[in-house]
Amino acid sequence: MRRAGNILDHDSVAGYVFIAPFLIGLFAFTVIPFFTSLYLAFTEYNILSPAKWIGLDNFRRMFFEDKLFWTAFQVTFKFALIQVPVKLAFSLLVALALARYSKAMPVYRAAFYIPSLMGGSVAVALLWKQLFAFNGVVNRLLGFAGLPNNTKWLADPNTALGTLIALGVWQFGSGMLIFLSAIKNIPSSYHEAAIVDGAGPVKRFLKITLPMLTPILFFNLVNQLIGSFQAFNSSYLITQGKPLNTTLYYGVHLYNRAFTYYEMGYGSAMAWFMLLIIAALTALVFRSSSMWVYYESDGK
Amino acid sequence: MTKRLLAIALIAAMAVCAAGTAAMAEGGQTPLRILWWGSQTRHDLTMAMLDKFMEKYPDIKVEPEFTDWGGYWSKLATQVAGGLTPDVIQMDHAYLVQYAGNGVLASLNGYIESGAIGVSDVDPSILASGNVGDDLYAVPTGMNALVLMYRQDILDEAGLTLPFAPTWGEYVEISKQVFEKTGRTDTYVVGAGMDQLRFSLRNMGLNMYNEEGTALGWDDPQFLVTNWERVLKAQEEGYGLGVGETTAATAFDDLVADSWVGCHWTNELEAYQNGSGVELEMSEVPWRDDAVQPATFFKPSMFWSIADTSAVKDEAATFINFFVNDTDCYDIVGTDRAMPISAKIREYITPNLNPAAKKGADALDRLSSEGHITPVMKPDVAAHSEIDALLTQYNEQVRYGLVDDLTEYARQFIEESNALIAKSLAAK
Amino acid sequence: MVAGGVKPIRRVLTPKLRRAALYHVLMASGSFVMLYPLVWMISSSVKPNGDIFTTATRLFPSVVTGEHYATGWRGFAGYTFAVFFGNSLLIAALSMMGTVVSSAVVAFGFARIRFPGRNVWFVVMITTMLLPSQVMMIPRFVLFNRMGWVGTYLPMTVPAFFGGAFSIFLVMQFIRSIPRDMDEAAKIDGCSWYGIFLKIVAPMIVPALVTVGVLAFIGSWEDFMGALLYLNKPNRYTAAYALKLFNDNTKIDYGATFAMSVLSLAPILAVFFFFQKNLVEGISIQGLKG
Repeated sequence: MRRAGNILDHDSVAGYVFIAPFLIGLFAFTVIPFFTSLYLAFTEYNILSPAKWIGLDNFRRMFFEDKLFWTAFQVTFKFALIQVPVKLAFSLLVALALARYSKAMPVYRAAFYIPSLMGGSVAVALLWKQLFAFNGVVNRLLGFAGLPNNTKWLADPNTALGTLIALGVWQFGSGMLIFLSAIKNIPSSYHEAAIVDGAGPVKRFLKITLPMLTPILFFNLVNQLIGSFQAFNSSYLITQGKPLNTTLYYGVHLYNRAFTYYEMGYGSAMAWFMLLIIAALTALVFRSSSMWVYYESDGK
Repeated sequence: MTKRLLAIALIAAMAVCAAGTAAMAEGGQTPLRILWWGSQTRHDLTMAMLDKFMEKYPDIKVEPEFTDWGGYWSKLATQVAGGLTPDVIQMDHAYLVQYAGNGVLASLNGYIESGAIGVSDVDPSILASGNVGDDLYAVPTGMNALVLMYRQDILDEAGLTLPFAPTWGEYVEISKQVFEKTGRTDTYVVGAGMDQLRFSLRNMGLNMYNEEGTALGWDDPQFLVTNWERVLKAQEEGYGLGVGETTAATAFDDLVADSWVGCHWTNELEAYQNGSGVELEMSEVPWRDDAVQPATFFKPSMFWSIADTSAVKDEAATFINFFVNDTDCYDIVGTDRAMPISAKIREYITPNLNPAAKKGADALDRLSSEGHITPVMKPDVAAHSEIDALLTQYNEQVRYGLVDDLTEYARQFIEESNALIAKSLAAK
Repeated sequence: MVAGGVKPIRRVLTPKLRRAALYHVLMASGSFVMLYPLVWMISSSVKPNGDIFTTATRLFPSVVTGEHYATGWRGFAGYTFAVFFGNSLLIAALSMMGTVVSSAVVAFGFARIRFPGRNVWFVVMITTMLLPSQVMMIPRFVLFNRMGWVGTYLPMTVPAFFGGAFSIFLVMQFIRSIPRDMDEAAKIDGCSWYGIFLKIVAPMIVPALVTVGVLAFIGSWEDFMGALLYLNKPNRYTAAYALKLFNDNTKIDYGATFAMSVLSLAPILAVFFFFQKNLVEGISIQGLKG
């Protein structure tokens, strides 16, 4: 039995002791900037002079005057809607393929991870432009294969966003890494027991691997959802929103307003509106999780 | 294991703290913070120049900070917001009105009057490019002009020559012939951006913005329509690179992959020659066929400004004076921040220029000696960068063939630009 | 022999071997696609300046030069990239340690202990992930400036010791997939929450902690914004920051940028291989217990 005398071991005390680092960090580094940015959302703030309170003006302008706001909003939704599932599927499949034992495995894993290490660098931006240029490698390969090779990937309003999504998907590394460690974390005894029971690989995947992975799938889903809505790099570095604003991410529009035109008040308003949208979506995902996420610790 | 990790973490953390407190300036010297942007060459040259400066002014201890171009404006704005504005700030034409207008920069009139910043060898119209209203807020570091840079080897191949001051009619004819004879397309002719608009306005004696900076300085939609029609014709006939048919990833390889000509600042010649690996020649930007005056102007490449909050403004002025007038400075930096504004210094450095810088200097000389330079443009209105972005959007629509009535569309641009200017003025 | 070569091979290859062969062919070609950018970058880093873009689609340079490595390594203001790499290593190692320790502790609290306010704090934590960092930059700078931390590494390292939402949430998900049987048994034996954390849960989440550590290391290694805003003295600059210093608005030294980018990948690759080794070890420890 637990020693009743030790107050530090009471659930309500121990809980706070464990999360204390988070709470300290929260109050020391996050709370003030967080609420400052909320305040700034209701001001006109050009960074160089003090902020001026203007009430709901930023939001009025956002919803009713700024045409690019809604364009960027739609682009980002489309981007997230396609990129999140495709990237998740990719990172899961590759992680599964990389989870077995083989001498060559460390090399394969490194190879599949490297694109995400190269992240938002200038080099990748240039490379992507080169690959998908009118006369670039991709079109040449298509030509060799006898396929139509005159697509203007990054300049055609119909294909530009897709080309950037491809870049995002290609950098599935960190999601894969997380899946990989989760797969490795499944005790091998589970699989061994199932083999003894005569379960085939498909059945074992559906009955053991997949349920055991749902907490991490959930994490990756939430994380990539947030990441996609805050996407910035690929558009900023490669297309700057072109052509015809079809790749103007919300994050890029926000950055342009806040830092190119020094409208930090408006930028903050945009950020807070996006916070509400992502919060609603994330809440939905969390709500749904009780239906499909399996926690071993809950002993369901 | 955990304990050892913790111990390492503690020691490292203490090292970090110790590094933090060792930032005090040594005995009796006045610290002077200077912030600039640039590339490796500029960082190297500037550091060497600052060493020389400190050698000559041993009471001043320069604390240099430098960034890339992209991060500069975020860093500077953040420092201003945090009350940590550097004493000496490298400034750009596009941001000058904004920074001066918000009281970030100190007026330099007093230092000019007292001679602390000596400008007796500087053309007053050049110096005036740092004016906002009646006050001087920024001293140009050097002068530039926007010119065409083109590949003579391609023209030779086609047996053509481009005059030094072509008209649009002449230019388009050459562009067509280059395409017919070599198959090479032109990316300049389909540009139609802010620079082309500005040059065509200046050819007619107009300015982008009016004197007071309260609206555009023109209202005839024909200026835009002419440019757009030229673009559409070039695209259609094939000598202008079709929209989206770009192969180049940067402006450098554009000169190799897609085009034979581009529009750049004179002091960028070396960068373009190195980046593209080809020899380039320079000519003026094409004149309107009905031009009433030349359009080319000397533009300050960048400026030095002093922070209004600086406690060491005199030392900052000493530095700017050193940069404007001291030959010791130019023994080191050369034309890295473009052609020096002091006539004496220009004379001093000309014999020692490298071939690319020499070519740039020659082009500037030729522009002046032929009388093809019109006065320096005034700083653009604060809304300029937004209007520039707006024009890019309009051009895109036109190039993608989405606009039926160009005149109406041009009117719409004028209206929208004026509204942006009005809005930015109302914000103050 | 050659003509009839196909048949005997088919006979020799058992279905299992054939599947393995297919697997390796797929993986190897996949790896090639994934590695293309790296190869391209390395190849570009040894091409002379004029060739980088003119021969961009050619993977094998016709002329090889080491000049970009020489000019790049020279660095800025008299400090070579050795200094910048050293600075980055110190910061990334600290961030990694801080993240690992704090996320393990906090995640355990959230995932295992039922205490009043738990859900509220959890929601607060997730909410802090949702605000784009761009609008926090200036308020944060103002705060750190008031604390006197600007110009030091503190803003780039200390917050890691107080847990990032992303890492905490990830480790939580791992802890929640561990059955409670063992903690309950330990509790009955009189073990406190602290004992359960140190003796039972912590060893079992080593793979998760390694993953979080690697991601934190890489995130910190690549952090450009922090260095841009908080570091002033050239001798404190980090590699991610120094890499950008080759860029002016018109002059960009792509050769040197590529060369130093290649070098800058080496440490994170090393960390990655270390991660792989530990991932396997983590499993074997668990294997023994299971």
